Amino acid sequence: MEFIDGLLGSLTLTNLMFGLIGSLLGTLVGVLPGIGPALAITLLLPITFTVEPTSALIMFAAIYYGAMYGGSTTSILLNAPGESGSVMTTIEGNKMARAGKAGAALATAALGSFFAGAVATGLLAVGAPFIADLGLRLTPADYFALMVLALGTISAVMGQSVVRGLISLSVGLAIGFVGMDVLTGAQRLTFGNPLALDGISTVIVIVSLFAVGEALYVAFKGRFGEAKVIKFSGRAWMTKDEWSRSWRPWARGTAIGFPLGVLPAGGSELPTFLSYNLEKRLASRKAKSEFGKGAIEGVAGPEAANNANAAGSLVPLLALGIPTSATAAVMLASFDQFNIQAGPLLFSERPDLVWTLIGALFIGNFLLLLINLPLISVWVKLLKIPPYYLYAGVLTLAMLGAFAVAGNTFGMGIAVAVGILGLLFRRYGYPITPLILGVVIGPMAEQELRRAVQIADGEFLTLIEKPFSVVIYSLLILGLVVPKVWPKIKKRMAIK
Amino acid sequence: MSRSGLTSAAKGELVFTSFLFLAGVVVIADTALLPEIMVDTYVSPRVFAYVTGFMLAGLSLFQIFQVLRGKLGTPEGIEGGELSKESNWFALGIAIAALLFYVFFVQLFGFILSAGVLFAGLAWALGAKNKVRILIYAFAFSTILFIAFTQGLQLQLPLGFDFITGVSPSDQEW
Repeated sequence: MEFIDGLLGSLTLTNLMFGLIGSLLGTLVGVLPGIGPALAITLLLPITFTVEPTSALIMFAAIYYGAMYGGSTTSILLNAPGESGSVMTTIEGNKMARAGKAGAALATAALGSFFAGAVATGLLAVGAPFIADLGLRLTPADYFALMVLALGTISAVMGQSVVRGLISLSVGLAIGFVGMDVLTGAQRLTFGNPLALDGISTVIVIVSLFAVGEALYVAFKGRFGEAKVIKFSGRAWMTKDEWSRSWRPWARGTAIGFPLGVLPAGGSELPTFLSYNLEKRLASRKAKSEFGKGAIEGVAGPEAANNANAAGSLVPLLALGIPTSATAAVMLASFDQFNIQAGPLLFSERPDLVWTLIGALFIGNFLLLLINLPLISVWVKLLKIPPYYLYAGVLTLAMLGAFAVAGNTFGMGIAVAVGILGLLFRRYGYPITPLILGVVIGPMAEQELRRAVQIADGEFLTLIEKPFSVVIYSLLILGLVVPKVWPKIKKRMAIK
Repeated sequence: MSRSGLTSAAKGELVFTSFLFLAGVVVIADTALLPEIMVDTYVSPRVFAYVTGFMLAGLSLFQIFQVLRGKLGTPEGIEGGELSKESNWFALGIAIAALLFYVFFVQLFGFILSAGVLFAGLAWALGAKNKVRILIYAFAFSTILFIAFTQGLQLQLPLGFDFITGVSPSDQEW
């Protein structure tokens, strides 16, 4: 069986080593502020020049999973979510830590992440080939519809308002088509500058938005006091009662997180939020009174949802070649570096790579449990590094990356300019992810659009000819309109 | 709300949103000014660019009115610290200056020096106090990075000071 082969294939010493490095790095960037999985993988893209594809992808996937684990540690002990999927964990987790139950909170987070990661990776192994099979039967018009759906929903859910998300998206789309159009030679937004003909590298955009933008924003608006880390020296483990209160939320969190990862729902905010609210509603009377004061269900559910969501987002990435989160977008960029085409053909052309990667995810998930449960106190020590050195280190690494990719003053100048844009986006409440997905998916979508219309001999109506695309566009309209209209309808009905 | 009643945050957001609107107009203008292409294609490069430009300009215009009505964006939180009410222009200035130093001088003075200046500049801007320690950390970090990337990953980074030896750094191809 291919999966068993893949699992065995990933068990080579080299791959295990890259899995371990990825797990450690992932946990590290999850714990540290100022750097998340998307940025970490981007900064490591230069290794794609020297390392084998399988090893590099294993490491990147381990970083993705690992950041989810690491993020919970800072949420619980520092009251600071290391990445956006950990925001809900902070609510109950930090309260638990203050009440002296840090060990149980950390344990339910790590074990829940492990459980969700294992189940969701299993679902990925079973489900992705099916979706890839479906993907083979889709036409360019269908792909175009799927990409529009992904861009539209992510812009709608990510921001403080739909309009802000769509503005962010259109800035990304515009950055995406800077340069010379491959098909026609038209020079868009180059302003006659020959250096701009190659376009703006995705890597530069991601590095600048995350690292440079964050560093400038923190300088402009941040204030650092002494970090208030809650002392934790014991073991991360749970009592029998805490076990029995945890496993159901884990299962429910996984059930929410995975499908929302497969669908383009804009990353981990939504599933963790839904899981938290579900647990709050379902809690027994005793647990309900604990919500807001440190209920273990409120940590277990969202943490599981978060990890299952990460695994779920690998389904559209591997099977269709469409990224639905910033980290997935960066992983797609790394596929490009290796000239590997993510998408339905990947499963038939490079089954070795896919199955080794999925096998490695199981192993990485297990490694992460080992790294995080017994060694938790080591990670806690890292929280004592003053944030100004951390941000300085991340920025320096990022500009190293910018130099390696651009290699000239113009490219690095673009990096600084995009960084300033990142600062302004943060300051005025515009989401970053739609921009990044716009840069990555935009050119792909344009290509599919051209193919579709070409096949139909110039008939634009081909885009809405097949039931599949009609369903997709209807879903998109529903997704954009319902959240706006529903409260008003409810209000009107209540008045009557 | 009258315009004079705008808070400074609202004024700032108004400027930024207007900038986004202008960017949209620039995209539209650039697309309109594209020379006619000779290649026969159903979907010209203008289609996508026009959609994007009009989307950006139209939505930003809508957003300008939202800001005027007092609907402001909430600033993002700070990881590992607190969001301060006042804007620290001085720190921002140092951070940008450090970045620009790196951008313009990395070829000339080499990676170790420029990256060290960048690290030290940002650490200082963010409030690190001990200046000796900042410099030690900064140059230790940039030196380690230089060695790790040039030796470990075989990535070329400029050593700098080529004006002494007379070899131009731009001879290297990336």
